[in-house]
Amino acid sequence: MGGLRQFIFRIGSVFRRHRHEAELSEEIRFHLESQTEANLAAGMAPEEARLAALRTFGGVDQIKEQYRDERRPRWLEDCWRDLSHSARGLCREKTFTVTFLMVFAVCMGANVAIFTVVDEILIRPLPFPDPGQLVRVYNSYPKIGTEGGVSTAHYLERRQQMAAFSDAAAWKDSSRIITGSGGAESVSGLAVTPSFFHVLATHAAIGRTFEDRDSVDEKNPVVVLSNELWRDRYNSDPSAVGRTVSLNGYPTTIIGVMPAGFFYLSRHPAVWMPIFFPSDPRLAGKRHANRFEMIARLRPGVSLAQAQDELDALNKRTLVDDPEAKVMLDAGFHSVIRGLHPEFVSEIRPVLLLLQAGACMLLLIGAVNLANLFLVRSSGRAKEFGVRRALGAGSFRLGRTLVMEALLVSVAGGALGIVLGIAALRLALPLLARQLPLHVVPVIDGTVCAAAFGAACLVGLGLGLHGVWSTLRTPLPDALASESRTGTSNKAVQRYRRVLIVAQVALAFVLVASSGLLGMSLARLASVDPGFRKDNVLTGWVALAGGQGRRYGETGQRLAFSEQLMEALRSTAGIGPVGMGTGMPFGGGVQRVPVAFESPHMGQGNAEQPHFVCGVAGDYFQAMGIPLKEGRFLSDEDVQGGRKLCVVDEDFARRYWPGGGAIGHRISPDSTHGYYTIIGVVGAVKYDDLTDDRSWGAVYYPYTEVNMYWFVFAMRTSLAPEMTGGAFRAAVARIDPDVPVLDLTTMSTLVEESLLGRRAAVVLAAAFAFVSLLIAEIGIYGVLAFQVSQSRREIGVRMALGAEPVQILRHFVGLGIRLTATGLALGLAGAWIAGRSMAGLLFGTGPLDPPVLGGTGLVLGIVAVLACLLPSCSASRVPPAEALRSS
Amino acid sequence: MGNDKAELLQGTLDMLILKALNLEPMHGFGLSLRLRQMSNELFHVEMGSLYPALCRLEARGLVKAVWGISDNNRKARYYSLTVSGRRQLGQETTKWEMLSSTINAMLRAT
Repeated sequence: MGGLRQFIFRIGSVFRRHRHEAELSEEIRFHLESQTEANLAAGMAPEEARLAALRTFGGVDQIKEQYRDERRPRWLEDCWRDLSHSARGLCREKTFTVTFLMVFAVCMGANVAIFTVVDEILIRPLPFPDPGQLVRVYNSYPKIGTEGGVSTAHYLERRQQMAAFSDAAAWKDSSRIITGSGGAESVSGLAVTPSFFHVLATHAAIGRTFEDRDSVDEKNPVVVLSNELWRDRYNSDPSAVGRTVSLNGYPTTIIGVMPAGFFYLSRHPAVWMPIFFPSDPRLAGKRHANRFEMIARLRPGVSLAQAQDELDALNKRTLVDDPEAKVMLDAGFHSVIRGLHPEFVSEIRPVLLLLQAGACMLLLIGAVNLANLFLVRSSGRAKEFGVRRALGAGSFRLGRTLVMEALLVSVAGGALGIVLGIAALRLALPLLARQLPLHVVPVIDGTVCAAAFGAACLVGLGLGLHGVWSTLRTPLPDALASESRTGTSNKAVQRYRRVLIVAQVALAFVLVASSGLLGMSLARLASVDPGFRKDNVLTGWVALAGGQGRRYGETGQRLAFSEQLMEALRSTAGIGPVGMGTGMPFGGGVQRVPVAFESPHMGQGNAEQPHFVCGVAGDYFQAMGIPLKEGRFLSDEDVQGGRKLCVVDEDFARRYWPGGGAIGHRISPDSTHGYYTIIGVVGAVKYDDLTDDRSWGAVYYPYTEVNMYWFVFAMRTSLAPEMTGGAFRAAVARIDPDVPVLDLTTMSTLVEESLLGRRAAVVLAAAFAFVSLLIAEIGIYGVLAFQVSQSRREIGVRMALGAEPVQILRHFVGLGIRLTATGLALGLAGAWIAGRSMAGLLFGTGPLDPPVLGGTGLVLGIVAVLACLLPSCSASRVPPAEALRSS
Repeated sequence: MGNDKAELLQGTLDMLILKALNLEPMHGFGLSLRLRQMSNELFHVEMGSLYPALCRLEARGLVKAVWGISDNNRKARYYSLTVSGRRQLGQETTKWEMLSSTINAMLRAT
């Protein structure tokens, strides 16, 4: 008890120092004055009385000092002394300190940057109240490779009947063209059920969100604006609520504005619309038209497993009356409930974890390297510590000094790492930004700093303890003799140092090989044939607002517009074939819907397979460079004449008519539309993902048959894309200045962008690999150089006895190569494990890719030999006489 | 530290201070007079030992100090025993008596 009290007293006195000093002076003055008075009373003269009092009291300042000694917390001061001693020492040893800080900062910086992103996306909960209760519900048909979404019927049944849900909602993407005072503008939108905001537990900032009546009354459409749109178009005017805005040509009442910064996962819609469920849903026939995404909020206390069980039971009940039950079960139909957050990040998660693992690996290599650096340094100081121990310094005291020192540099390195991390993040953000699902700018915050600080302390502590262990375990006599003429450097320490080198080489091998595998995957992907010729194709979207009474309300009007535009473009110099479609590969707008057949086909399985469906006109195929395999393309007459014809792709034809002869068969997107005769077969095209090698199949109808307000124009051009883009805009403006042109890009850009996420991962992994190589190089060089400097005398003796410089050179290079080779062998095993764990991210290569592994080995070998060569050469040039004299 | 007397009194000084304070609360000057008086003018307590010892005792919670007014009407720091100080005094007295009687017995034995 006394110990604790004393401790608190002393700690307290650190902060109360000034008051204590004053009190002490006061007390001493009182003592002296009382003594003087006593002396006066005894009959001394005043001056003599004062001097006598001072004499009997003794040295005032000495007493004060002794008094202070009693008060101060000794250990705190000792720590402080250790720290300042370490700091001074580190400042003196500039090379060591700078090397340490650089290595540590780089490794830490990489971790800070990656961890910031990981924290932002994987760790931080979604920005809604009780985000843990939010789930996504979707249908899955694994046997035909389709999943996602729910149908109207499924949504309604589940919302009404599932006890596990406190509420559920459906949503789908839905863009709109706004016209009115602020000019024509196409904006992203989300169509949601009124329950959507209730599920997310969010309210409008102004006005209200949807109520059930809003999704029934189709005559009086309403809209909720995003805060950003409200700010831009209405200058944040609260009276905007209640006004009317024209959406796709329909007058729509603004009923509310969302709070600033409100968005839904990766969607940042400018407008929110209610979903209208058709009054006559013909539910039975459309049970698997999964047009909506469904989310739900679990009741408190309900687990995912319970909800899943209930959903499975519900599916079983509804399948009884489902006319398509057989087909759907053949397709593996089942429904899945997953947490909204894990589901949402499921795609980026492995990439981020891979990068974080890479960064951790880098930190590990760095730590091993630094341990080595410490080891080298402590051998240099073995004598100093030996002397200190011989003079009676306790092991604890010396150990504390070492740990303190390691902590000091590590924390300094960590702080530097955070700064570096911020810089790296700024640099990497443009690479990553589009791939980050939340579309938020990651910020280095308290969590990240605390994690970095913790990691720095951990590494520092590890290094310090490692230093204590390696310094203090040398027996005292050896330590004292270590630098004398008779001393040899410790065999065990030498071996240990070599183990560290091997570890570094092995770890670097894993990192380099892994990034090599990623790079190889990217290269293989980039050379995948997308099925169209992506060079020299410019694409641009045109939005025609439809609706009653509008300029482009009728299909014919839209057809006239596009005919006119294509005609204008064709007559422009430098522009070759021009086509248009309702969608295009890598650009969106392509729907996936099943197809109905007039007569039974010979194809595989009975499962209903959705196919890409696109409406086309003009020279769409020629412009995109999609080759014709059989029959003919759709002609202008076919489109204008509204003929019931269509073109399918190879995958489609092969699927249903494996023996050939697809031409002449009749299919329909929907049995109510009538049937379309297949007149041609074209090459298969990748629609949104180069890694996707499933045969989806595609059907191209005349665009007049696919009712859309959005069109993409594709034109093959020999000019620079910017010039053609200008011509395109001008042509549109000449026909109708109110029609907005969007997303003018080349096909190759679009394909490139689909690889952006992979490219970012590869670039980062390559950066890690490069740094790890650099660190390994420094490590090998350092150890070998130290080895050479330690054995100068031995070299001298050998040379004096007739050894050739070449032999000395061979000895040291051989040592370096042996260590590297061992490291490579271990690294190979590590690379195999790493490759296997990231198999999901690889494309066209296995975990053991001979060229990649060979290349890695070669690069590391070269690096190692380079690192060995310099110290080895200097060893071979040691003048024997001088070497013998030197120690 | 290097002072002979202080070393001689180390340990015993703390006990004697506790003993003196057991009678009544006192300021440092009074304490120095009292200690001299109690030892029949034999002990001359160094101030360099007395004040650090008081600080030490205060830190251990055996004495507590408050500012008060002295007989000659000045602000003075008065020290008094705490409960644990009183207990400590009892323990140390017993220990000391045992030690001194043992040492006396041993000295007489020769």
